[in-house]
Amino acid sequence: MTSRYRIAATGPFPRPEALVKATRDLDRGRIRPEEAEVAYAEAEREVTRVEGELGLDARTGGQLRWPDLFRPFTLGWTGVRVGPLTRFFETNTFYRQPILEAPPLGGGLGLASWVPRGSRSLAVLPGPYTFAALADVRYRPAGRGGASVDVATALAAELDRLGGERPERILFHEPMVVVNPPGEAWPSVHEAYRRLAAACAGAATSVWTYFGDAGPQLEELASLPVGAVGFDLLDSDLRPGASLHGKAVGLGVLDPSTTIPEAPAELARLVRAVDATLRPSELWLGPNPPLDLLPFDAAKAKLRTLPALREELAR
Amino acid sequence: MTLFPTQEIGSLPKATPTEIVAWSERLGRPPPDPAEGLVGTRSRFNLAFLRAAGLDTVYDGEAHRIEMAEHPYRSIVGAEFVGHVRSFDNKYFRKAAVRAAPTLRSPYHSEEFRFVRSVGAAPVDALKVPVTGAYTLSEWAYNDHFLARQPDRYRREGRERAQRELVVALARDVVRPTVADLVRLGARRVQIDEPALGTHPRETALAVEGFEESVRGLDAEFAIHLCYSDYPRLLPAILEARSCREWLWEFANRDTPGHDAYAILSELRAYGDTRRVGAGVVDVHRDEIEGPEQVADRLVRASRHLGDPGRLRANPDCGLRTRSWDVIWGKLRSLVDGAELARRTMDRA
Repeated sequence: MTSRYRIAATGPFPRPEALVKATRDLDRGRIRPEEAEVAYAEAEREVTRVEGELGLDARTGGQLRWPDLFRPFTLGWTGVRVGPLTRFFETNTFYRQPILEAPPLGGGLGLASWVPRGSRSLAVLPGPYTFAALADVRYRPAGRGGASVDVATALAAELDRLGGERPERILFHEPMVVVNPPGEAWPSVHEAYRRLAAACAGAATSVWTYFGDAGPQLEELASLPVGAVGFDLLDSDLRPGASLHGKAVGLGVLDPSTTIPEAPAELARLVRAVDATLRPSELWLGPNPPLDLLPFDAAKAKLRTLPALREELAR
Repeated sequence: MTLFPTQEIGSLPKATPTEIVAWSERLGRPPPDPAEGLVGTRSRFNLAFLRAAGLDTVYDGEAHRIEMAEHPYRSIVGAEFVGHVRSFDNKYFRKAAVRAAPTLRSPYHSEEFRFVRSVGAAPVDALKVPVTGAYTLSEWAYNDHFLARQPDRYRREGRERAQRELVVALARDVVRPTVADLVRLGARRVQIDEPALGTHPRETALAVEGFEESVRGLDAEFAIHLCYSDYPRLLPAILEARSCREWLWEFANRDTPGHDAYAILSELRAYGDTRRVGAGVVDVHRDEIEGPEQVADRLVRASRHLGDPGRLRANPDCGLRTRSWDVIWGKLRSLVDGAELARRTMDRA
């Protein structure tokens, strides 16, 4: 029987040390782009190997070539340009802020070259609310949260173009939903996800939050047209009677602020409490914030907790 | 007093011997003696370079240091390096894990300061020593030791307690003895670098506690450097850093057409804060060189928002280590010329 408990690295991987060295050397003119390409390919094979060895139910391939969560879109969309280096939430990592001069026009980016495909493939994309909230929006969108709808429209155009190369699963990162909740802009967020749902036809979709307490936003998240809602197990306080109305649940259970691997038995106790409250048909387990806040080896060690936790939960 | 004194803020690239020779020729100076070793040569060259650019306050571009967190952690007993983490694009930092209560092997900036002072590039009052703050040291490492001791490590309360224990231990047992030794050796100006302070605005009070613990009772002019942070979220808690005499903040990176990044200074004014401000007026993450007019415009706007040009110093946003020497030279010359232009503008006003 297939387990109700599924495991995945629900965000980008850190780069293996060999790729760190190669990309540094490339920047310093010590190696040629072709040599860096060899390092990328080897690193991607290594991530694929790790994801396979751990028996992850969905596999990202690491998304090691993404400069940040937004850059492929910032570079590839019309109406958007690359802005200043900006801190990514409360971390020591940065992204180039997208500057939206006009409603972005997507579809020509060639998303297929950025995301995995095939069996168990999982693409991690920026959620439209987080994208719009972290961007510098220089035009006047229609109504509150209108920029989220515009970003979703552009994202949908990219996903449409994927056609048969669409990944099996598409996960939208939406930390901003819990860090700075949409409030009156929720209707726009719903509209944004309606547009994405049509473009994601045939793929399992989910929204994944982190960096904050998802408890107060759970009702709204539950009514988005996605198959699963993910949130941070350690930061989220579920209200009595909380429900996701039958959606699958995602739980961030690995904390990248420490290299100490989590204890499966202790985590299992916390996961069971959420399971008992929400009673989802399927429960996905993954990192809280993405694992790329850790070096590769430490991330790999942390990920080993996931199959052990699944085993513990199945007892 | 001259308005808008200029200063550097931190690290420069590690110049190759060829670059040192070429630039020394370009500046019309004899190259440093290679017999001093590459680190010493770089240190001496950086000081000469910054002075030649016309900066009033200088240091040696952190020539003796690998990186602002890695360098201290090499001297911290109880920490070990576990690998690289990406900062942005293809830029990484080597991250340590604190696996026992941190203690200091030996003060890690003392030899460097002795050397810089001996070069005699500037009087000691015009040397500003950058020192990584306790909060940033804590944030840029994995807190394994104190977290493992918490019975409730999977709860927010346990994680916050572990964080505080690490910050206080680093401030008391690592940063403070390092700063104290600098002061003993004659350092008059110390810049505590806390770029991580903005990463958890709700922990501003903790960062301030770490700063105060690091410098309490020491006789020098202390400044706090912040960058790429949401400054309004740090106010007013950060103002409790009573031992700080100057804020050095990044602004230029976010000063774009239609967005006046210096407007935040009016909030300092509203709080009645009368400390000096070292305003970032050149962006260290872009190659485009700001013209002196743009630098002057930024200083004039900053003056207007702060309400007192006499409290402003002009500096780059942050360390310039990621730029080429040509770009650095262009930016620093614009900084110096722009400050002069701003002085003339203010005189006319």
